[in-house]
Amino acid sequence: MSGDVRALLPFHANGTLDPQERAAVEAALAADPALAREAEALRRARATLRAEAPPAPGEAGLERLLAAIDAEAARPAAAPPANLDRAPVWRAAAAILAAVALGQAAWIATRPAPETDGYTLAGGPPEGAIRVAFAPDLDEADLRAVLRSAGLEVVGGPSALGLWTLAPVGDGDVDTALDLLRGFPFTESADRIR
Amino acid sequence: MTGPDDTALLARIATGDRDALAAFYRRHERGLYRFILSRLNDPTEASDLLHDVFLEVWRVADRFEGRSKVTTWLFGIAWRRAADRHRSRARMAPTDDVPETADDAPAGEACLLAAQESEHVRHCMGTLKPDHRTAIGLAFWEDLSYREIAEVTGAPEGTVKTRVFHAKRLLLRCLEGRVARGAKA
Repeated sequence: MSGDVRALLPFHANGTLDPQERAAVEAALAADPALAREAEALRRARATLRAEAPPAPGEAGLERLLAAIDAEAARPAAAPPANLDRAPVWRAAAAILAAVALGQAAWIATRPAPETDGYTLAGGPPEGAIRVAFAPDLDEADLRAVLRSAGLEVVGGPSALGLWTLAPVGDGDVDTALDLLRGFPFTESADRIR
Repeated sequence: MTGPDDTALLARIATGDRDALAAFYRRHERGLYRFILSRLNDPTEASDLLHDVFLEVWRVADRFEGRSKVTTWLFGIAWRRAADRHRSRARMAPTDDVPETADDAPAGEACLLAAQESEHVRHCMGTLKPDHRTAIGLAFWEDLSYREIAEVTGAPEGTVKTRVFHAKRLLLRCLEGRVARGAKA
């Protein structure tokens, strides 16, 4: 039995396969009674799981949320919103980290400069690329500062979820770049693509 | 689903409509909480993170571009924030993907019976590692496709299928074992 069909069984159970995948799974189920029992067990487990839900905060959570929104709205006008307030801090952090990374970046300076100032689009992420989510209001100047200081270039993104795919310039070290990236305060998540 | 669809609600939230936020909260709170709990395994932390996610929705609703389902966008926010919490506590464990091996998922009568008992299913879900529990949870609780799960978690589709494959195998093996050992539902 193909592992592909077995891997699709949970998505057959939840009805999200496309017609071609669904036909392949159903043909396999018709031909293999053991596989059909497995599919039935998954359907039952899904139904059981969906029938119960852990106690969530409910209306108390909604009240807390609305109170937080009210408190935020009641802040003095002179105080800028927290997420905008962070922008100058980010710039300062980027500058500091850029300086710290100077030694690491020195060897990059001896190499031919990237053609596009850190923005190179490619067909797909190279092996060892980094997928990163930045704070949503990171501006382009900060992004460029990050890329330069960490020796990275953009090879994809942002996705609909705001995920960028980055890769080291030239033979740069992915782990070093990843550590630098995670040190930036506006990096929400950064993980190596394997 | 009754009332305005999610996209319409988000558009209203983006204009500062608190009633729309309340409707959006009531519609998604339970599923989102269950998802976050599956990541953090701590009800208090899960409640806090749920609060943070809806606050973020309030602040960034105007940035939803409609290129994905609202559910995918919402769970993506939750997934990233949960990942941040993991990171703040300790470096996240390496991926718990395991090498592909021969599939020996049981599918006997015992497994079929156990799959109907909430106590058994809840117990066995609890034995899964977070990445496995998240993957199977998004498939079974939220009815997301593997492509949507990939978008939520930022993982390649192949990785998602592999995770769900192993999660399913471990879940069924656990269910079979529960009945074989005579555990009470």
